[in-house]
Amino acid sequence: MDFSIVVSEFASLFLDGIVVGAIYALVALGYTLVYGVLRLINFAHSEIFMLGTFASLGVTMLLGYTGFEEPIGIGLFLLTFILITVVAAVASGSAAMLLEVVAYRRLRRKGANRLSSLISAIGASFFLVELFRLLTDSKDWDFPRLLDKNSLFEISSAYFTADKLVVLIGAFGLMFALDRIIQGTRLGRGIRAVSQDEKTAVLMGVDVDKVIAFTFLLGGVLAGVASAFYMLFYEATKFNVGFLLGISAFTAAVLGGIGNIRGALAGSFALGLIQQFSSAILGYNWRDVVTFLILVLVLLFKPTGLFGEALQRARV
Amino acid sequence: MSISKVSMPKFNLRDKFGDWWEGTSRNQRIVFRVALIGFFYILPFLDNPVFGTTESDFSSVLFYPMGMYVLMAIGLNIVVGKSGILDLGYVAFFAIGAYTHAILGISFGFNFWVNVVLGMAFAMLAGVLLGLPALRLRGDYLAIITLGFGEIVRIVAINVNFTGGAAGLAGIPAPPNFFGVEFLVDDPRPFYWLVLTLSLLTIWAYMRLTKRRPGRAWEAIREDEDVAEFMGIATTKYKLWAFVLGGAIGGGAGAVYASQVTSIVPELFDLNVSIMILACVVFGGMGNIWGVAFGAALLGYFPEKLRFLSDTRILFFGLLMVVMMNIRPDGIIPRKKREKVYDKNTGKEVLR
Amino acid sequence: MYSRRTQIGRFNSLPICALGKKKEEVMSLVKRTIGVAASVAVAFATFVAPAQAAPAGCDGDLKLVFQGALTGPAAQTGIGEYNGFKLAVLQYNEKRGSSPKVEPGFIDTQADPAQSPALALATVNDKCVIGVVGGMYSGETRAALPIYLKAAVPVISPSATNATLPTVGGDVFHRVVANDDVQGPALAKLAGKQPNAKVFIVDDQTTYGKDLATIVKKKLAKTKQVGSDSVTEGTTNFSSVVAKVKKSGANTVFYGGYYPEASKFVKALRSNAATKNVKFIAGDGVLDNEYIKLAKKNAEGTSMTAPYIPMERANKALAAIYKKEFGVAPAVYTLETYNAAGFFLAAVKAGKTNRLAILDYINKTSYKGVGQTLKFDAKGEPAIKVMNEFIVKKGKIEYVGAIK
Repeated sequence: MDFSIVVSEFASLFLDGIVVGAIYALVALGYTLVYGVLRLINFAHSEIFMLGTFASLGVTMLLGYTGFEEPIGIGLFLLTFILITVVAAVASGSAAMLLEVVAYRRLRRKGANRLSSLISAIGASFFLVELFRLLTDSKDWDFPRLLDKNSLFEISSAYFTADKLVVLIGAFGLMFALDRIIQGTRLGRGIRAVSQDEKTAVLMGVDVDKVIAFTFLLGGVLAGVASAFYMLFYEATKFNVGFLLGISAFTAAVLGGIGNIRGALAGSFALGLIQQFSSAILGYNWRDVVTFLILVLVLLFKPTGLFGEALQRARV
Repeated sequence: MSISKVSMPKFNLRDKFGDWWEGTSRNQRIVFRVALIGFFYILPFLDNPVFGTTESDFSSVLFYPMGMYVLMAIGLNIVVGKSGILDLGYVAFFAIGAYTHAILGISFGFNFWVNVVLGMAFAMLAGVLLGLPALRLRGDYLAIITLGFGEIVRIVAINVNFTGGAAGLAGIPAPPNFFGVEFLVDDPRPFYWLVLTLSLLTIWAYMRLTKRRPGRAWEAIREDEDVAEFMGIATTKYKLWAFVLGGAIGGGAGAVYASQVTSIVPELFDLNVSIMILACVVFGGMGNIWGVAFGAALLGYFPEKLRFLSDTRILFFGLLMVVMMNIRPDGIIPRKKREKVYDKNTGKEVLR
Repeated sequence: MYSRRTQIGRFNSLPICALGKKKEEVMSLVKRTIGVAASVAVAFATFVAPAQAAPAGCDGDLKLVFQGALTGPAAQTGIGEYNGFKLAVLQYNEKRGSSPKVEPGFIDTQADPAQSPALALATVNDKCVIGVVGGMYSGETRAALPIYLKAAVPVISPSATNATLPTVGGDVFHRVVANDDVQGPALAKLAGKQPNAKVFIVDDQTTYGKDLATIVKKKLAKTKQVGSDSVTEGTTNFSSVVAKVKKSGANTVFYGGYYPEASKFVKALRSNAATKNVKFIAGDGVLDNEYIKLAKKNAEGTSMTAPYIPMERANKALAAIYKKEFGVAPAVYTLETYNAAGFFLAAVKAGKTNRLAILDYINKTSYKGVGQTLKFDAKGEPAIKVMNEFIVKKGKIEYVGAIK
């Protein structure tokens, strides 16, 4: 156990934790939004993310950038990256809406119990993972380095590189935009209404089907953007990349209080930091045990999560 | 117009069977039971290209995954199906039972049967330790905690030395000879019969419990926990019992599994197993023990049977799960009898 | 006696006597008995009869079976191995002359120890199977070995590294991949050779990576070790490990594991100004062209060890044939699998056509494969202890020399 590293590398670990947390946040929002309106853990959300990574990769392949080693100029980069992000967002968003129609809508109409939807979600997840495994030849795929990763400036031990800044700025921008959508637009209010009380929302004239479709779309778009950031940062993907990231993002959503949007954000950053610091102190292999222990402890003492407002009574 | 929570399909196995069963006499029922049980026992001898699994050994498949899934699904059914406690970390109990037999069998030479009991005991202990604090929470929060517990057990097994670390443990002893029946490494049949017998015994014990107070208490808790509490049922006690009993069955199953495979690694006990068993329970018909057993057997059978699809078999399996849930959300053999729903105005039956 | 007409729907039934009611019952009983008897007969014909018609010996071509992951998360490595296997058998069949034909079979275990026993049992029950090339990873191999041992089916694994396998597999188990006893010390030597070596050791917690890292830790002088960490397979975020490397002041990093994670690790190291120039050393699990493809420029200067010479270097023509046949370059364990299959096929060519004879042949003789010679000691480990050093130069894997 090495606590001294926390002192000497604090800024660096902190920065990396926030960057990872930002990516988690965008994915966690998808889990939390869907849970809020449907009380369903959308197991296949991690595959929506994975799909986005391949969509991002596809754009670079179409543009002929594969295998690129020399970073392209900043202007070209911005254009390219915006294109990648948009394509990934569209791909993931539409996939998410399709998923809702195929796997969940019927069950919702029939009033089936939540476990059936859960199993349907799991089946959809298996299906998507296998589909992409077959499409991508089970391989790891690499992403060209579009942006020079030299450190732009440093604060203490933290190296601020361009890609980290892009991720941070982009993620925060999106979170702000999402907040505006949820608070300001009609559909956003619809989401809040359905999350609070579906039956009353129906009575108040909310088109539940449309709201739910919109929720999935939002979650998918966020996951798509997250996947573009992920590719920029990690530069590699594989058909099963969704699983590990999905578990982390989901844990983050629960940590913050599932169903609660601000909780998802808080939980994600908290989780990113916990993971970074615990791997540095205890070693990477204990990272997940620490994560789950903290999750279990938080839930035992504050079941609605760190910042959760109770959407349903948590205790018996 | 009434809103029914369960919309039953027009054709369903449960009703057809239920109607037939009610029409049979006592003798007919005994004959039926004996014939069915006999059929299961001679199943290893009925291997053939049409119904058997051609690429994997049929008796081996009967033991694992089919037999093991059935036994574990029966255990998880008590927790999820009967009591409504969503457990996403059931594999932890399976792991505890397996490692108990492995460690005590290899290092201390304990007898298999002793280890089965000890495995169940340790699993029950884990169930109590986890359940006491966690069962106060409801619904999905409990699910997350159980998921976390399952993962913690697996990761600890990887990192700790006395469980063999990532390499696991090998040389696990088989059960001792049972009246001349040898438990050999290349003959899964005695193991299958062992699992079958244990499953039947467990079902029998389960039926006894469900007809009495525990069973009714569990169902009450599942339907509406608050009302159950108001009606005087000690919900925490019964929930803990359900959790612990389910865990015991999982632990026992783990010990039996370890004795057949003779070598275990932590990756055998991952989240996918928990999800698989949960799928068996939901797929088969939550709460209905026959449905659950049947569903478990099917879900163990199909991936092996579909090996001829080689590359795409998991693809079809996932598709199967989605389709099945959409057309039969309450499982293959649902637990509720079909409710007759009447139209308020005309008084005529509405077929859903 | 009286008769009555009964009406069922639109149809009138025939007049039935009161005595006829009993007759009705008797008729229905007879019908049911016939029905039951017919069902039993059909069931018998479907279930029991075919099972008894199975032949006792092999009535077709000899079969060599590959065990590994052709689907699932480990499929990339498995397919690479399987292609090597297929190529060896295909080439043998083309040039076999008067030797018996060998059919290439496979069992897809997904590298899952839960699936391998059932598949292994079906394999040994197939009397035409003369041997198994596999399994791919230690867990699935160990689960299947007791079955192979009991049936005396010879096994040569190209890549399973766990130390307990020879014990569990007894006489039938052999492996091509070098035991860490040879590779570990070589890597320690390589790491310690660096000027002012300050080595940080990382493993991926697989049997392969962890054992290798453990031996390196044991053999490397304590003064040269500055820290260690463990990651898992599938890790993408190495930033905390890089932070630890930075803090330890290491100038050399040893990674015990496979190329997907190694490529991400080395990329992370090179992206951080403090660790940009550390020397990266790894074992044969990283010696793959995919490593360079994934890590790109960051792979430059990586030193690796392996107990063989890669196919492209050992036999360019063969590598070209491989590429043409499968559309990809040979992968990390392709060569070992190719040679393992080759050993079996050499036995068949030498006239051995049953399991025991082939087992004996493999135990007693040596086989000159491509890029390496296979000879097994009493435990089934490679008897010829050769270790080569490689380095990535200008985006290509270059052979440096043998490590003594």
